[in-house]
Amino acid sequence: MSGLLELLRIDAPIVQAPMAGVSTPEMAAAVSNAGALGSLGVGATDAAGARKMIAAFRERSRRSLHVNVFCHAPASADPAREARWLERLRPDFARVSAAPPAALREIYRSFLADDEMLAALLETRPEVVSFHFGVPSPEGVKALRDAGIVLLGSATTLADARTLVAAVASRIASPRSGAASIRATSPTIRSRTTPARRSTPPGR
Amino acid sequence: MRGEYGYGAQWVGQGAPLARAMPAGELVAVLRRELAD
Repeated sequence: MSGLLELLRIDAPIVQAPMAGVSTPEMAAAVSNAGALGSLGVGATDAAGARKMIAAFRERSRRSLHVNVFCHAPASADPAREARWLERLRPDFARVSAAPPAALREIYRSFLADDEMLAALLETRPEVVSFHFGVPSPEGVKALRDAGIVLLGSATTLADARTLVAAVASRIASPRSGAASIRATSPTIRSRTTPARRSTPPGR
Repeated sequence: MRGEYGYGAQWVGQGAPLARAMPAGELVAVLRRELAD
């Protein structure tokens, strides 16, 4: 336990959930200033938004900051397939007297397809970065580690854990039973793992 | 929409009744005290 506290540079083994759209710099700073790990979820914003949030945290706290990114497989647009989905869901929209949208779009840009977000993290260097719905590219993982950032991942299944180990996360958290958690179910996320990456100790 | 909540993302599990409303910093202090007890 003390190893984890030292690694994260916190006083108590408590991590604020980095929930996208809900965790604010004010909340994260209050948590970090109280000795736990304050967290920002940037999965629902872009690099500029993340920079703003990180700067706002730094104005309020000199302690460790944890930033979480969404690493889902980027959506590949297929208008014909999406039109079939919309058609299939039309009765559900009709039930509540609503019209389906004309087209579908990806609402959250994956960290896997967001070089600007990677650049923002490498520049602002939060002490801790964690991944959700998958793992970054091997190059992304290496760049973050080389910047001295501690990497965390969240595993809700054995397969998730294996994916994270293969991507060389420093630590793997398993949400307690009953805790709110969401898991990546897409097999394409697993296929993005580097199978032969050598495991090394945390880079600090 | 129109009283239909079935499509919403419900984030809280069986721990929902354990929720206590308080400022984040204070909550960490309480958790740290309870961890130490």
